[in-house]
Amino acid sequence: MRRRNFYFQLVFTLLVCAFLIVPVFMSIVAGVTENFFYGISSGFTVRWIVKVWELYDHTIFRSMYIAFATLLVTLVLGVPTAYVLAKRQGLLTRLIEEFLVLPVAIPGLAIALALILTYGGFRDFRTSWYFILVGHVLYTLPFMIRSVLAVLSTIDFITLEESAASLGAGFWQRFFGIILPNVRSGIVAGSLTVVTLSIGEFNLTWMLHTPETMTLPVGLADSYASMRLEIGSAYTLVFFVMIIPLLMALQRYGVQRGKRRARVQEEAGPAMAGPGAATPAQGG
Amino acid sequence: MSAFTNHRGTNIRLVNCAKTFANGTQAVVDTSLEIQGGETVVFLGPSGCGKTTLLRLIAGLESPDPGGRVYFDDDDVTARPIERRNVGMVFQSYALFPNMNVEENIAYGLKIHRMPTEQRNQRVDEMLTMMQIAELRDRRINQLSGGQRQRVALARAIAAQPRALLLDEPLTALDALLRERLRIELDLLLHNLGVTSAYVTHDQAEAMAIGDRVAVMNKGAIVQIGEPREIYFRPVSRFVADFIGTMNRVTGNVSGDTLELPGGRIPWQRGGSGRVEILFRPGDVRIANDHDAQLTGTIQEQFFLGDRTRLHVKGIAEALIIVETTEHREFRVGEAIRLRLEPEALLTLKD
Repeated sequence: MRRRNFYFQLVFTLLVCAFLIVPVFMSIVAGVTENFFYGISSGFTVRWIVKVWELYDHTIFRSMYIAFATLLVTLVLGVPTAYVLAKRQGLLTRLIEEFLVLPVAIPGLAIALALILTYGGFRDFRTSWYFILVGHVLYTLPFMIRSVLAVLSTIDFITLEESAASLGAGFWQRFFGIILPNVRSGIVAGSLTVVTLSIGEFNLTWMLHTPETMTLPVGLADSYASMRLEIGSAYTLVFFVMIIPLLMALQRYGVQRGKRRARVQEEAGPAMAGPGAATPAQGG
Repeated sequence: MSAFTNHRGTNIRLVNCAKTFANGTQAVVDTSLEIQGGETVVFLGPSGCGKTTLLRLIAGLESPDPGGRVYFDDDDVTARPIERRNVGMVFQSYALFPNMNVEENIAYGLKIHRMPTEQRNQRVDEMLTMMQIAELRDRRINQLSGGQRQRVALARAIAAQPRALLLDEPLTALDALLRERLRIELDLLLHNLGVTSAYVTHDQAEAMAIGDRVAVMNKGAIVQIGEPREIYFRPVSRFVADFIGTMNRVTGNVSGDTLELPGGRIPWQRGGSGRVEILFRPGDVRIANDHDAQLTGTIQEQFFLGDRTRLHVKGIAEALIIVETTEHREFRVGEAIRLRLEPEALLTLKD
């Protein structure tokens, strides 16, 4: 009975996986097929990929540097903001915290429209990639703040800071030497989210971009709309090849740290009844 | 490096220090206090009595209301934040830095003070040896037991030879057995170092064991300060009497040189007449023989506590009195019991 249950679950899981993965696989196949209308019997080719690179390489690089610029800005703004919000808990900071969620709840299109209405008149700004950067920061900043806040709320950082201060550390020494290292897991998780969101962001960017400031997802939409199916698919393939290793590297870094910590705690188990508990009572 | 000359026994003075928080709570009322160089003063009181706030005023984590002054020897440190007061602090949660191992934790203050590497390593070694935690040097904080954390926290606090050592319920987070052992260790350590210390606790046994003097606090004020024996045997108020261990309180009639209680009479040489309230500790009542008994009562309840037996006795006074005895014999509920109270065990309060 239990065995049959196991196989049932296995088959079900595989079916769900297939349902999700087959379209991705189809898309990749389409990108390297000579002519998808005739199927794979028409032969494989890399010429669509070369074509995509010729047409859209700038969007790929632009997406990359916008993502990292967004990350940089959210780090510089988000981490100190989270720190202040955690430290000064009052009505005002609670309100700010609530407001910070708004960009996530409001449709990207609406935010983009608001940005265009407000800053559209500044032509140089409107047509530069900084305009997209502003949109992305607005959209991703709450994720960085939330992530760091979550970690801050689990550690008694106020007492940690007081104890560092008692040892002579000034504010900046405490912030860089004690606070930042202890919220690292939150910063890593937040960074992962910010980069992922920024690279894949379409709603906002579609409204904010100009033909000169097209990002990868916007380029994808463009190619789907105006190129042949194989080029769109090849573009998707390029997207995968560029993005997946990046995400895996970031995720691995975050997960590995978590794993190591768990192992350390296991080892600490027997040590709890270790030497300190066994040494005889003596003063210095 | 002047910061590292050993300030043996800095004299700490609080002058007219009060503390009112932004929400209007007055945590400490106008308090003046002097802690002699090398002395250990324990702030004892129930939670919310202001003892921690008083400690934080000394530390520089809070500043007193206008008019209050804090002196370390002749330095007026009132306006100095904690990082410039050179105090060592031990917190109830230890507040060890999770991002550093044991060695780095102890070295942190020395690094901040820019002590040269060689000297610093030597000092860290000294601390590790002194606290008997040399084998924990490379451990991370989450690999330490409570007792070990306590030692690291102490080592870190005293490494930079602070002018004062401030301890905020340092043993509260430990289990009873370990607490008792570390209490002895801590007492030895503080006195060997000769560092001026302020120690906050709500545990009266801990306060008695560690303090050169104990300051009993209630509602933001020091209600009595003195040596542990003085506090224990000569409490100035009901609050102090009741807070420092169990106290029997009975009322009797003075007639000449005897005090008459419902259960008998005891000699009385303190004068006065009419109704008098007296207090005595449960351990100061002796179970008497037939020939030297003064008081007779009946056991209403008995609790065997291992090292001693606690009896609730009725008939001695209007209320029950509590008697503690180390006698090994078995006591039965309903049994008549004869007791004796030595005159020197009796306390009277002024208020």
